[in-house]
Amino acid sequence: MGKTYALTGNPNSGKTTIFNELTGSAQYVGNWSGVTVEKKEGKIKNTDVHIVDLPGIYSMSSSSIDEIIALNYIIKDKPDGILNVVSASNLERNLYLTIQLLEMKVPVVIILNMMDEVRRRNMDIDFDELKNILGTKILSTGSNDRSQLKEIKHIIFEDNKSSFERFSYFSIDIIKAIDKISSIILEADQNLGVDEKWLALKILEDDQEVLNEFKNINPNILEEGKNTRKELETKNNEDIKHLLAKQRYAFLSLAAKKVIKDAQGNLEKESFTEKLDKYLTHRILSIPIFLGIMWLIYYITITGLGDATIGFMEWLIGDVITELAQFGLSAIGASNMVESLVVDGIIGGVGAVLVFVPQIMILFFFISILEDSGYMARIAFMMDRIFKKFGLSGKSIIPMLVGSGCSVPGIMATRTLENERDRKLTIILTPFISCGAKMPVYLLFATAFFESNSHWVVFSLYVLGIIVAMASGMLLSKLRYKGESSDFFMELPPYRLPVIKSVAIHMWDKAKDFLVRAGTVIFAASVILWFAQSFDFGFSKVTDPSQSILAILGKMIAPIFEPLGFGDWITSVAFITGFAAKEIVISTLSVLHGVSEGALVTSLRGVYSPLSAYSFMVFILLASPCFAAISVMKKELNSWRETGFAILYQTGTAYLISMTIYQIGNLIY
Amino acid sequence: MTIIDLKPGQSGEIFQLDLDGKLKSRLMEMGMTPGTSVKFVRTAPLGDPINIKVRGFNLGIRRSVAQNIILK
Ligand SMILES: Nc1nc2c(ncn2[C@@H]2O[C@H](COP(=O)(O)OP(=O)(O)O)[C@@H](O)[C@H]2O)c(=O)[nH]1
Ligand SMILES: [Mg+2]
Repeated sequence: MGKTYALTGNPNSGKTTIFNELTGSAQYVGNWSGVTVEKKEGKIKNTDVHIVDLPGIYSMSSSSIDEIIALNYIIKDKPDGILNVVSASNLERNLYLTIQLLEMKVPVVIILNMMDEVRRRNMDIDFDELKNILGTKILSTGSNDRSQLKEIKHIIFEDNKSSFERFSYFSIDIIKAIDKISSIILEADQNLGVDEKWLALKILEDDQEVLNEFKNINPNILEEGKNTRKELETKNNEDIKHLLAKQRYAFLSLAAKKVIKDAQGNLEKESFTEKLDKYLTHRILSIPIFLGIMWLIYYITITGLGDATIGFMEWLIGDVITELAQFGLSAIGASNMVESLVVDGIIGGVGAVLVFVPQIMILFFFISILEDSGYMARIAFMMDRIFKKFGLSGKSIIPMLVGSGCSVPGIMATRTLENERDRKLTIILTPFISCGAKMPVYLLFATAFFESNSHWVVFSLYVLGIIVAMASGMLLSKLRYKGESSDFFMELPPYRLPVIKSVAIHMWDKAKDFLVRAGTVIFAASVILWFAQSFDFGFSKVTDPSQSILAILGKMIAPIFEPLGFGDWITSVAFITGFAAKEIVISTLSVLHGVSEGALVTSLRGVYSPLSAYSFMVFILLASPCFAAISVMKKELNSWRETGFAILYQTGTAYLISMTIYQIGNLIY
Repeated sequence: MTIIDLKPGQSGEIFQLDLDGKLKSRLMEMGMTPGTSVKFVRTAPLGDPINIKVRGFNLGIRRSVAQNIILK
């Protein structure tokens, strides 16, 4: 059996980077059971060593979902060792988590990361002294030198028996209390499977999450813990948790002084981040800079590089692949029917989506850069004031920005919000921010109907999404999610150069999602749609698609959309298939109009007016997201009622706004 | 005196946090314990929140929280 090591560390300590470095492409992403927090696992190349990436946390106190996941994994799954990533450029706070791990008496090795950053500032770390204080093995690394990571393959976890004495930094009364409770635990002789002194500490702290895991614990022990805690708190006139934090930090301040070599006092001098922040969070300049960056990302994705990649993909699919397929099929003497299935059904449907994959990758490239560089946290910092007005906190902008790529990770990113009310509200609002899969729909319609103004039309949709999200935030926080938004506080991490490898892995992961969908759901949907529109209920081939099975079904729901301006059966079917994945909307249109990407534009012009086309785009933008997003919403909201409400609210809002636009537009023109 | 009484660039020493349990625990776990030095770095462009620096890292907190962090 191979060994399993867990990676832990503070947010922004470089955990993801180290994980990618260790596992390369041999990784996969799943979910932790019960919650949709991403669970990343992988193997070190050519070994049997398994690595699990735990969520980034500041402490082991089980006060957030992330902390609970990390704690549970360590006490229940009992990994063979813990690789604790510590940012050398922020030693005191990072070691707070480290000493909590050591208090658990689990095997720990420290990966001291960001050493390049420390040395660039002409400082250094005394490794021997740090090892002496903590008694663990230390691997030092930085973005310029990752060689020591190789040792992880055959690392031996020392038994941390050396100089580190657990709890020695607590006051005498706390140490005595831990001893007392742990001796009762030992006397009770229950096989609890964790270190008794650590458990004693958790009982003293009254950590409900941990105690829930040990339900069979003798109630007398808990009673004793409660009494001791009361005694301690009265004596010190302070909450036990605060006492512990104070005493741990007192120890860490001293340790940091001994370990950090800073002869020139560089720690106090202005860092690169502080210089850059003078502009990026400047009173006046910061807002134009922020809007400029957003505009640039949007412009490059939609217009600049986007147009070029679309042109290339259309040529590749429409000309090269289609012609090759036709040539191949006629060479083997395939019937017209088969040719139609392949060319109109499969290539038409799947191709319509594939055209946009490079563009979607470009979007994820930028989102990944925003996150990794540290700028995303500044956006949250700058926007907090505005978001507060709309009943949210600045942190809610992060799920929304991530959601502009895909609502699924966007909704998952809401876990960083501590406040349940904020979290629920943000989950419901995030799908209003247009996702990457909806982008192809706008691009297709905008080029077909608005020619030279097409980019402004697409831009207006993004803006509309933001406005509707904000207005809904205000409305729902008055009507349904009452109460205060959480007190915003968040780390503003140092600006760092994103690592190409991490960005590339991120982009590839997302592109893979789209490609897999194109090869499975969209492929299947295209084939089914082709059949459903080629045959009637008697299963004989129809010459006029409006007599087909699909047309008859489509016509049943079409009247619902009449007031919105698109009451034809093809559009209704496209909306319904769009639940499977939003990009299927264009596959559907392409298959049902029986034409390829290029000619679709002409076909669409016969069906919609510019006004009804705009109304349709607005409806796609705002209406309920795809099944994948709905299922994540359900998991995160943990209630069908809330999820049902969200879907109804989103679709109802979409219907009202589209109808208003179409009806008012009709009066004007 | 509290953090918001500092001018940008000025530092002070934390005396106590007049905040409720959970938020107080969170901030203390991030190193904002009594006796620690805090620097008021700057205010966000729209006037709230503010950027402070403790133990070598930057933190954004709202004014409503900062005015309950009492300095020596
Ligand atoms: N200078 C420097 N930057 C690093 C190092 N390791 C990671 N980074 C960068 O720090 C940022 C945060 O890293 P990430 O791995 O996402 O941190 P996580 O939040 O712990 O997963 C990214 O921009 C990385 O490129 C390092 O050793 N040195
Ligand atoms: Mg990460």
